[in-house]
Amino acid sequence: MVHGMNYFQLATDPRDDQYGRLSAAVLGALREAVRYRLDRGETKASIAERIGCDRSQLSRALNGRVGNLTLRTISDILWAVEHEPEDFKAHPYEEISSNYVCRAPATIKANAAPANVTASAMPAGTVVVRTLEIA
Amino acid sequence: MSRGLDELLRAGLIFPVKVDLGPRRMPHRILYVSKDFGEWATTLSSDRRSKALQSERDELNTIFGEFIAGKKLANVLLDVNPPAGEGIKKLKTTSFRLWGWAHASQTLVLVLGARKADLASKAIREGSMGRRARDLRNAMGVREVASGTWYELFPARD
Repeated sequence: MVHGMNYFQLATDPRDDQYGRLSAAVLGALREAVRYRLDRGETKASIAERIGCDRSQLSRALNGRVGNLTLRTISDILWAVEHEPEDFKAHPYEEISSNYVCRAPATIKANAAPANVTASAMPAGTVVVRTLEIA
Repeated sequence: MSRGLDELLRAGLIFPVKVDLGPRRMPHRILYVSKDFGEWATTLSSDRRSKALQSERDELNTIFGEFIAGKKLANVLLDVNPPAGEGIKKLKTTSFRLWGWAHASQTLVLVLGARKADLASKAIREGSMGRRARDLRNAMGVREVASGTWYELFPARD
């Protein structure tokens, strides 16, 4: 069932979107690895000392507040918390599918009247897609 | 009487968020933003700052995508107190603080966002933002929200 309805979508570059997914995955893995050691009594200061930087530099790296997080830095952080990175893989786009469907909640299905939302109601710079597939 | 999501959608008060999740990722959670939140989000810069991995806009888009894809968002999800016991939730990103509520399990509505740096420079307490988010929700006519901790309401896919 398809109704006329607007989404909110930020205008972004697919190249930057992919970078965002990669950096989120890498930073997520780093934070989890560091958290593992912190939960076992280590401190950020001791981990930073092992890497050869100070605590604030380590925190900035883990929060993505560095302009260029190098492979060397990523590896050094993992080394300092005794974690081994595993199986970084990349796949051709054509071999994997992108299946994004914006699914509305069951309440929408139960009250399936068309939404009366106009594009002019959306903020400038918003990408408006005219249809919403309702599961 | 509390307004439901369908009423908020029809009234143009909230919009479902669409993100290109990328190959192999399926939506696991539903995210809505209010009109005001959307207006704020579209003012964010798309230029990458020198000491950041991403532009502000890309950072927000990434957190939207990670949330919708059902990723575990370590250290970024918080229950807000104050206001205590009113179901206001906060999302922390590197540069932002975002407030909203869980309308149902795996369904988040964001109504308020701010740059972390702006909050600090203007000495705005995050508690006051939580109360503002609650007031915005009340103004929309929403009285009933899902209760529980972030991790109960938004279990991760992986």
